[in-house]
Amino acid sequence: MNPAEPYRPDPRLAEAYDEATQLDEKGLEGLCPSYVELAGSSKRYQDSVLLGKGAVKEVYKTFNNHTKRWIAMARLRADRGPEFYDLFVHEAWLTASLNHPNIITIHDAGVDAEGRPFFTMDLKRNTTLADRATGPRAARRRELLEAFMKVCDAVAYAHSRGVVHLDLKPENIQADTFGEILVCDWGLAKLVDEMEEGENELPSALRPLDNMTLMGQIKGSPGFMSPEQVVPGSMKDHRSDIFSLGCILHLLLTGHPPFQGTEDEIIEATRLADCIPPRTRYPDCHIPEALEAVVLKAMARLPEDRYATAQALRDEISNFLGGYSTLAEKSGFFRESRLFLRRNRIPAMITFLAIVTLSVVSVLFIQSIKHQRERAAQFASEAESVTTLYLDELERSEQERKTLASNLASSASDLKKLGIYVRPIETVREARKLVASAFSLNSESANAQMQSFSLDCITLNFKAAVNNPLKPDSELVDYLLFAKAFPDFDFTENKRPTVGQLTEFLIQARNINPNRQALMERIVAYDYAARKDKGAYAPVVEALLEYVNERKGALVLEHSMDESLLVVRARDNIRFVIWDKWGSNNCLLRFLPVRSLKPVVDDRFYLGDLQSLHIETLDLTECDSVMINHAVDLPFLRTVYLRPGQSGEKILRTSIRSNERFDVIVKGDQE
Amino acid sequence: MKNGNMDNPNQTRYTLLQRACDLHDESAWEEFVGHYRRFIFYILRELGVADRDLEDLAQQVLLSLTKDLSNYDQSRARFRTWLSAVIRNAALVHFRKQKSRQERIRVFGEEQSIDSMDQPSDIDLRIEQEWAAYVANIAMTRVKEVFQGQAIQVFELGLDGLSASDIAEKTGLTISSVYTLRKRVKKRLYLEIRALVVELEPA
Repeated sequence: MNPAEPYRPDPRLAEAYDEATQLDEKGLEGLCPSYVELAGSSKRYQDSVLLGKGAVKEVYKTFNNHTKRWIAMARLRADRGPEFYDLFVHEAWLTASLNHPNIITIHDAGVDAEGRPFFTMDLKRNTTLADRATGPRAARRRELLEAFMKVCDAVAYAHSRGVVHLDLKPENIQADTFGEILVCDWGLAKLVDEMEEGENELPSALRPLDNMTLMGQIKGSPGFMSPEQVVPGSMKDHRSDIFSLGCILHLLLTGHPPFQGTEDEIIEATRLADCIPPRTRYPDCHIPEALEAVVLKAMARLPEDRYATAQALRDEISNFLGGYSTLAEKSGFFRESRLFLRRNRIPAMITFLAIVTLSVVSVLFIQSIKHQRERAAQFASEAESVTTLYLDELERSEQERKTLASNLASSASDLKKLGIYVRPIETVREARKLVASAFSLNSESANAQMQSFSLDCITLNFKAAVNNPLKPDSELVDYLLFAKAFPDFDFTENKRPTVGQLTEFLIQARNINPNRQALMERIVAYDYAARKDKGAYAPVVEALLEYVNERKGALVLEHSMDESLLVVRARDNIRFVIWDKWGSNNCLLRFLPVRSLKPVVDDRFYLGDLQSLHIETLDLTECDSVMINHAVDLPFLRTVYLRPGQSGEKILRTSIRSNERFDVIVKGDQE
Repeated sequence: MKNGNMDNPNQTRYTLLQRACDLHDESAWEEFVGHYRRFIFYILRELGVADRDLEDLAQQVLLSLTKDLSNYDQSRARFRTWLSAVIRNAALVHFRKQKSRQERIRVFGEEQSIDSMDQPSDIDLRIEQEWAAYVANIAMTRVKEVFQGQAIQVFELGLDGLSASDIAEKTGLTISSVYTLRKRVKKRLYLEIRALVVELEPA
């Protein structure tokens, strides 16, 4: 009201003052309408809707007029008489005594106008853990495991209060999509003390549960109860709940309860705790070994073989989710590696080492050649020793991350050394993953930079290589000379140079630096594997051999694909293998696969240089001087031609190792 | 003051009047006087005091109001009864001075009832009602500052006697919104009235 203006009363407000100050009925209505409503509501509960019916209880959704909210009300089933009154009341009291965020909250208990007991509790969305775990809209495994941990929390709490549930099953666990978990239906729950007194079961005629018709012994729900619950007179305790938790975990992992079939079959399987291991039964579920082990331990037939506490079971899940291997699972290198990586949550690392170690090592193990198998085993054990250093209570300090990054890069180097000639493409791919992982740990890792650079050189991606901030003191720094000579080379697995480009590179490379023989072999090995059209490759091999022998025009290759024949013409003694530790130690002529090989060498020809060639026919008739310095593997060799007077058959047979017996034929002088 | 009264239940909460008189709080005095002055102006004008005398007379009433405040005894009369008597008395004295018998009789009736302070006359009752309406009107002014949108409109249509469904139709709101808004404005109005009573009527 503007004080400057004269007061003009609004006559409609005349009564408001009296009503507000004197607080008669109308005044109260205006001042505190909610209070008036609460004072005036005589009926506390109204508008009941039946939600579900159990063996003992009926649960209604009902509106509480006093608190103005929908709640759940449990009533004794109409057809249950006074014999059940105490059972019902005890459930209310026992549940109300449990005060835990994952246990249903009891609001009130009482006796209604007809003298029948009721209690009220939280009303939640009517979805249970069973709904969340099965069907097309099942929650993801991690979410279910987190829900399961909450169930374990609730059960562990109840056990700490001396209460066992004895009817744990997914249908008795409310679960909403916001992660709230409530363990309900404590109707069979018992105080452990009471059980120890040997309190008798109810007379069979009064047995409250539908499923107690069997032999009069069974309480709980078949499919989720423990063996001791189906065996008459067996002692039940908190470990019975542990078994049920194991069954629930089984359902969460597979979507199916552990025991299925007719009721009799279920009872029998329960009695024997005869659970088919879930990984065997549901291979499509991809259940981690660790979790299967947890299920099987929780579901052990003998209570003493199960987890001792619900907390211990919970910790197993927690450890799994946190990435530590579970107690139940025997530790091993590969799994520990995976867990380690998962635990440290470095995104790019999550799968790489498992993939690299498993795939590469298995690839290499397939190889029948003995020394490669040994190297594979050595690689595995090296990787293990590197990785296990970090396995346990690793703190990801800056220094440790850097060290790990460097070690990963070194692994890439080892891997490259090991696999580049056997599976060039896969090896480069996996080594790149290792390098990427190393970078994700330490983006400035010099070792990772060097490995990345080296991989770029192997694939002839010099465009990327010249941009690499390689340290000047790097042992690979002279590679830059090659890269700078062909800065436009940007080849990848799918984009290969022409034969002419590659040949020209090898020719130029010899002038730039003739001492990187192994690099050249790697480049050609990778190119040959990645190249789709492998024809007309002779110029490349020729240039490679010129590089290796450090002279131009060292040899001429006459490659006839039609006849599958390769004639090698050389005047001087010539080598076909890079005999150093970085090379493959296999014959370079393998890039021109033929069934027949005819060396025409004026000087000495070293038979050992043909190591691992897949030739069937070897014509030595035009070699002046065949040198047999050591044994050579020619697994498919069937025929060797000699001219009269050449080194005899006997020495060839002892030097050449073949899968089968080969013939040595001495030709007449054809010239 | 956060939870002041909760933290120290013995702490005195001063009324506006107490702050104005006992604590010599300038702004409290201004506010207090402002509320009364407007009411006194209004009543005196209603009683027929000429405009040229209003300012002086209102000033006199305010003076005697504050001077006599210490004599006000809640057990004898409600504040507004007392307030009415003070104003009525001042008006009477004024008319006497004016020798305006005509006016006097018109407003106050015959002489014999003039000085009877203990027995509220019709004029007292009328002033009291005017005071109640005045407080309610100030309260409503405050309420209007609080609400936005259609709440006030809904409430005032209700005061005019329109039914909830008529209001709903007129405002385009649902009937339940009409009920809710009306209830909220009314509740606020009552709270403001009760607060003003504490402010303006010494207890």
